[in-house]
Amino acid sequence: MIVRFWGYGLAAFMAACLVAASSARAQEPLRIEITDAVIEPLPIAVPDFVAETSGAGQIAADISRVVAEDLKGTGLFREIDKGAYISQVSSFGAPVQFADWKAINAQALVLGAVTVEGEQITVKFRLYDVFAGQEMGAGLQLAGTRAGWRRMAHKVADQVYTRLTGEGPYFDSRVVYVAETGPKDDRKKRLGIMDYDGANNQYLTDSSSIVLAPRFSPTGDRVLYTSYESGFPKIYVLDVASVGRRVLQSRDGTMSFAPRFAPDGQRVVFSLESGGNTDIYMMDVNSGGEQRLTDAPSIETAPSFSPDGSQIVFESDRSGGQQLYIMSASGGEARRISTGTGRYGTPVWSPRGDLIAFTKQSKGRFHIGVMRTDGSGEKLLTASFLEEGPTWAPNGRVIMFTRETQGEGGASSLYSVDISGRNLQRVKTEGGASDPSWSPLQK
Amino acid sequence: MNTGQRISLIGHVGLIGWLLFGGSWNSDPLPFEVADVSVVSEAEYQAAVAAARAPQAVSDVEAPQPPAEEETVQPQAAPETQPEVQDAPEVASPEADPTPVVDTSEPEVAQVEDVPPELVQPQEEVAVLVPGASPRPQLRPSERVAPEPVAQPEQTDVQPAEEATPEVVPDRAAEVVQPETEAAAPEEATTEINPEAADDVTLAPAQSMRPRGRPQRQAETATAPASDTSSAVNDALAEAMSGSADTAEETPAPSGPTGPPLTSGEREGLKLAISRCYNVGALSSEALGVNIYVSVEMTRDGKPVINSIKLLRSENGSEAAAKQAYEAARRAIIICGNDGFQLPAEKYDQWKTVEIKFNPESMR
Repeated sequence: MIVRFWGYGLAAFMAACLVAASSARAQEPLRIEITDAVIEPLPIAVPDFVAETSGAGQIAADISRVVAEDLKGTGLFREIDKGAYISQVSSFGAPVQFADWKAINAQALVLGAVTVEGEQITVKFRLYDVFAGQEMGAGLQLAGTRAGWRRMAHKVADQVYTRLTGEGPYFDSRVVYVAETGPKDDRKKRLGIMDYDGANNQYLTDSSSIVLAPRFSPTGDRVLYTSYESGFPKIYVLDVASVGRRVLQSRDGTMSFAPRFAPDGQRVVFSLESGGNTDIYMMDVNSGGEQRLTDAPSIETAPSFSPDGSQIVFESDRSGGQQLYIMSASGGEARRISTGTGRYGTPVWSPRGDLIAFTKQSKGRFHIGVMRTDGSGEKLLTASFLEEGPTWAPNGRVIMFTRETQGEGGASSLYSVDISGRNLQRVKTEGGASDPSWSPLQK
Repeated sequence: MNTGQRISLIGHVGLIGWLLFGGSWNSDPLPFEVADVSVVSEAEYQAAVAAARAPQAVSDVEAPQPPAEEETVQPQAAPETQPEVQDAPEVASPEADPTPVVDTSEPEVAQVEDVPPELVQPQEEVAVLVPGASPRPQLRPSERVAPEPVAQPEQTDVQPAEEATPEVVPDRAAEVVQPETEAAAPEEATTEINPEAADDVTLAPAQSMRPRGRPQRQAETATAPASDTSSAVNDALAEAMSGSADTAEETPAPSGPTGPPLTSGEREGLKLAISRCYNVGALSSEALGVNIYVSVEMTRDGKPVINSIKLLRSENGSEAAAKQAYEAARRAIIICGNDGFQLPAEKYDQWKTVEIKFNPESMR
C-alpha cells in the first residue's frame, strides 16, 4: 500500500513538472532586437478639402495645397499623387475606406472641409492612421477670415505635423530678414518680413540706410535691428503692426549692435563698442538703464539668452581665437564651451534649451552646426563658401541661416536644415536675403 | 505496480535515503591534535615567563642580519613540507567516492529483476505518461535482460512474476498493440545485446529517445488509458493532469509541430524584414532616442495579429515620445507583415509570440 502511494505521488509529481515545463516553454516569446531602421519620407494622402458651400471650392483646394506643401517641406513626408487615389472623398463625414488608402501605401490620411460664408471661412479636418484603421487625435475646426486662409492652412498642417512626429508646431510663424538688392558693391538692404515659407512678403524699412541683424521679440510683435541711419550703428526697436520705430538710448560716439531680446521681452542684451573695446551690455527697453556684463580687452559680441533667461552665450576672442562662452545673465565669469579647431561665432540658444546653434569657420569653409550647452556633441550640419547667422524655428527642430555664393556676382539667400542635417532647402524669397530671425509661433 | 516502476521507486528511495542519512553516517570526525600537558608550579611558571621576556628586549639590534639568511632557508623548508601535505589529500580522496559506489549498486538491482516481457510492456505505458524520468530504468534492464531472460522465464521466479502480472493489466493493451511491441522491442533488444560493449547503448537511448517518444505515446495513450483504467499509475497521472489536460492537448498536440528553436538565419531574416519597414524619418528627436518593447501575436502563415500588437514598456524617454516610437514600430510590423513574414511553419510554437525591442541606435 505504501509502495502504491509512493507510485501515485511520484507519478503525480513528474506529471506536474512536465505540464509546468511545457506550459512555460509554450508561453516563452521569441525575443529579437531591431537596431536598424530606414529614414524615408512618410507617404501621406492629402485629398482636396471638401467644399461644403458654393464658392468654397477654390479656397478649399488652396488650403489643402498649402497643408500638403507644409508637410512635404519638412522632408519628413511624401505626398501621394492624387492620380493614384482609389477612393474619392466627396463628403467629410463619409466613412473612410481604409483598404483603398492602404492599397496605395498611404500611411496617414488628412481629410478636411471648408465652409465659406461671406468673408468668414471655417476649416475642419481629421487625421487618420491608415494601417491602424483609426483616427489620430480628435477632429479640429478653425474659423477665420478669407484673408487669413494661409494661416488657417498652416495651423492645420501644424496639427498634422505635431500628431505624426511628436515635435512642436512651426508652420504658423514668420521670418524677419534683410532683403538685399543690387550689385555687390552697391547693395541695398532693407528689412523684410514673410511667412516661414516665403509667402506674404512685406518690407518694414526702405533702402535709404544699411540695416543689420533684425531680431524678433519673444512675442513676435517687435523687432530689434541695427541701422546706420545716423552714420553710426545704432539699435532700433520697431513695432511690426504699426511699423513705427524708435532708437534705443545710446551714448554718443559709441557703436551698438548685435541686439537680442531677453525671454521676458523687457530687456535687451547687445554689444557696445567704446574706445576701441567691445563688451556686452544689458538695457532695459522701457527705462533705458544699462548694465555692463563683460569687461575685457577682447571683443565680446553676439549674445543670446537661454530660454529660461538665466544664462547668456556669446562669442569672444579673449583666448586668441573666436570661441563660444557662457556666462550668467547678470555677468561675471564665463566658461568656454567650444573646443574644436577653427573659429566659432553667432551662437543662438535653442528654444528647447538643449542645443546651441553656431557658425564655424574652419579650413577656409563655413559651417552651420549645433552643440550641447556644455560644448559636447558638436555636429556640423552644412558646409559652403560662406554661411552664417543661424536662427531657430519655434519648435527647435529646424534652423534657418544665410548662405552666400562665391564671386563678384555672389548673392545671399536663405536656407533651412533639419537639426539631423537632412532636408537642406532653399527658402523662397523675392530677391537676395540674409540674416533671418524666426518668430515665435503666432497666436 | 510493474517492474519498471518498482525499479524506479527502489532507486529513488535508495537515493533519497542515502542523501538523507548516508552523508551524516559516513562523515568523518574533524581531525584534532593531542598534546601532552604537564603541571607546572607557579615558581617554574614565573621563571619561564622571565626567560621569555629577556630575549624580546635583546633581539632589537641583532635582528636585521639574520632575517635575510633565515628567509632564504625557510622557503626551502616549505616545499619539503608541501609534498607531505599532498600525501594527505591523496589519502583523503578515496574517502569521497560515494558516487561510484552507488553506480555499482545499480547493476545489482537490475540483476534481481528478471522478467523481460514485463519490461517491454511498461516501456510503452510509462514512457507515454512519464516521459521525463521513467524511461531511464526501462532501457537499462532491457539491455541486460534481453539475452538471458529467454531462458529465465522458464526457471520461473514465482513470486515476483505473480505480483507483476496482475498489475500489468496493460497486457490487455499489449494484446491490442501487440503487433507494434512484438516487432519493436525484441528486435531492438537483440541488436543491442549482440555487441558486448554496452556503453554505446547506454549513452544513446538514455536521453535522446525519450523526447522523441513523448508526443507519439501521448497520442496513443490519450485513447488507450482512458479506456483502460486499471493501471494505478495511469490513474494517478490522469488525476494529476486533469486540471490542465485540455490545455496540454491544445498547445502541443493540435497546435502543430514543436521544432527546434529558430536558427540565427531565421531570426535575422525576421529582423531584417521588420527593420526595412521601420521608418524613423518622421520621429521627433526625443522619440528617436527611446527604446520600446512591443509584443505581437503571429498567425501560422506568419502574419501579425494587428489587435495583439501592444507596447510593453519603454526606456529613455517621455510617454509621448514612446507613443510616437510605438506608432512607427506598429506600422513597421503591420506593413511588412502584411504578406506574412518568412518563418518556418514547423517551428510555429517558437514564434507564435514575438517580443521586439526597437532600438534604432544606429539612426541617432
